[in-house]
Amino acid sequence: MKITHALSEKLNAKTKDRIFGLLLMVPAVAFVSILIFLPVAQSVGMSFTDYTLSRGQGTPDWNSFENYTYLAESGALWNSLRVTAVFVVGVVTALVVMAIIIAVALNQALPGRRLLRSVALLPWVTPTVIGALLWMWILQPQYGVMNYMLTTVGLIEEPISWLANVDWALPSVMAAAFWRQFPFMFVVVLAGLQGIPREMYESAMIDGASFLRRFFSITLPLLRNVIRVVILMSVIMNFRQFPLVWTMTGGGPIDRTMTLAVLSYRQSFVNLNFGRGAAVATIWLLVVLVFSIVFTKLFKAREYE
Amino acid sequence: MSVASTRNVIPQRTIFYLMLILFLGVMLFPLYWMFVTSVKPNIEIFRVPPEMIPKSVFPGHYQDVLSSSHFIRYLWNNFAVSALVTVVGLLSATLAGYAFSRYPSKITVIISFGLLSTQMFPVIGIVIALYALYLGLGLLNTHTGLVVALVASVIPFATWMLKGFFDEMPRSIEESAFVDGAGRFTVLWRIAVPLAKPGLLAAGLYSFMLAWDDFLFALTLIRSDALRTLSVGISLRYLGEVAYDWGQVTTVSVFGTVPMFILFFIFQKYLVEGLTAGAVKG
Repeated sequence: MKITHALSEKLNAKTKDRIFGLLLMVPAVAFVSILIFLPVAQSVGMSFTDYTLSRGQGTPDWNSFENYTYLAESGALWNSLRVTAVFVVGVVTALVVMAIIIAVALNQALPGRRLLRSVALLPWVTPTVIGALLWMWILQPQYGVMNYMLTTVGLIEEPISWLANVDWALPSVMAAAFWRQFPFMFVVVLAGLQGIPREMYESAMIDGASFLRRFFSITLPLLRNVIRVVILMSVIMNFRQFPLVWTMTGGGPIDRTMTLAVLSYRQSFVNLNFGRGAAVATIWLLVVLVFSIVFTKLFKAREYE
Repeated sequence: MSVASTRNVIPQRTIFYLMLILFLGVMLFPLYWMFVTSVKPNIEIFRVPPEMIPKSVFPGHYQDVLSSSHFIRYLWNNFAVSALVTVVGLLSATLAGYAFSRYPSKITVIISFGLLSTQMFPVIGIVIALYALYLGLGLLNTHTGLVVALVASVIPFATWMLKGFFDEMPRSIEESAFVDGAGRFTVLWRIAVPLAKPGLLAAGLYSFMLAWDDFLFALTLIRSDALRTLSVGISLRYLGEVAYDWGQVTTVSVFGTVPMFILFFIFQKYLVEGLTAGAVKG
């Protein structure tokens, strides 16, 4: 009798635990499902309709992929896919490579390292739009300090209109994106480096392994997980990048910086064509999903080689 | 050994300091230039060659910006919205993060990965549908609408940060409280939450920074100037079509960044540890 009572009480406690756990998640789940999952699903649905703000409150109608065919046929989609790819691949590659180089170089006992780290992190806490403004001022054609420095050093002869130049606009925005994200990348890679036991390097040095040998046989393999996470995070982050590009160039000149994010915003909130904007967002969602799945699969598979 | 190492020492040191200077220079120059430009009169700002170190401090732009009621309002709105987002977001994330860590089940696993997957969603897609949704609900152009949208966008990462933090916390104190007959909520509220203070600080700061940095939600969901937040206010009011008033732009930028710098310097220990731990652990 007593035993069954204790048993039922234990089962009861288990159920109570479960209910308590579920209750705790209610606020977070409610916010996220109503304000993220539902809107994303709706925008996917909207992308198949002629939803525009100017057509008033009438119900939007199915328009048999007209948004998608328009985007493909006008060339806007291919341009944006290309620009986004260049932006994301360029920024992430530069971030990862530079973060590894600088972190390896600076990973040693150094007076004031903590202060150095915190000062170096400042761009990361600078609001994105303000970062964009600072770079616009630095890159300003007549009075900007970039043209002044480059002409003084002799690297360029004529001042360049960085953000209005079809060849320089995208690299300029990428530089600003790099500047804002580098500190975080650096700090994460540095934390990863500090997790590598010193003895590994010491025994490698006793065996006479050169610096490069140590880097490729110890540092890189042991940083692998950190690098994997950091690449995935920053690819997704740069895909989402909107304020920087929008503030600095608005997608111009002649669509050279028209990333998917900016194209989608332009279609929906400048041309007020929500259906087309949603179609761009849907394609973007697919691209990011496919990338994330392929990336995780590739990296996982190689771990068991 | 000694021959090789002495030969290597000097160039290695040089490379080291060159890297250090280059790195710090690139990272800090734009911020330095922001402060310098903000204290120059317009004649100095538009002088070629530019003065790298200003000889005197010109307070004019600060006076202009501080006497602009628009700017004060943007700053206040940004502060109020970010603070609300932090409180509501942190509360929801703490509860959910605690559930993920202490009451795991199949459902919590599914939900936690659901939260993680939101990071891949296009913000602009969310905004398009929210605009239509808010239009019907009358939430367009309200701080309430902006706050709840931002709360949802900070919850996923904050929840994961806090789950990680709770995972690292020993369970023994909570367990002994259960033995003493404390209820589940009491244990959560009176024992786990106070112990998790560093984690709460990190997640709270992260939420505040994210909300402070918001541009897209405020740009689309807020229409009237009186309700605008900082980033949108700055970009719509201080960026002219043709010529920019760089003195004012850099001054408002100083006001937008300095609060973040102060918060960061006070709490950086928690913030950096909280964020890097998550990434390093994977």
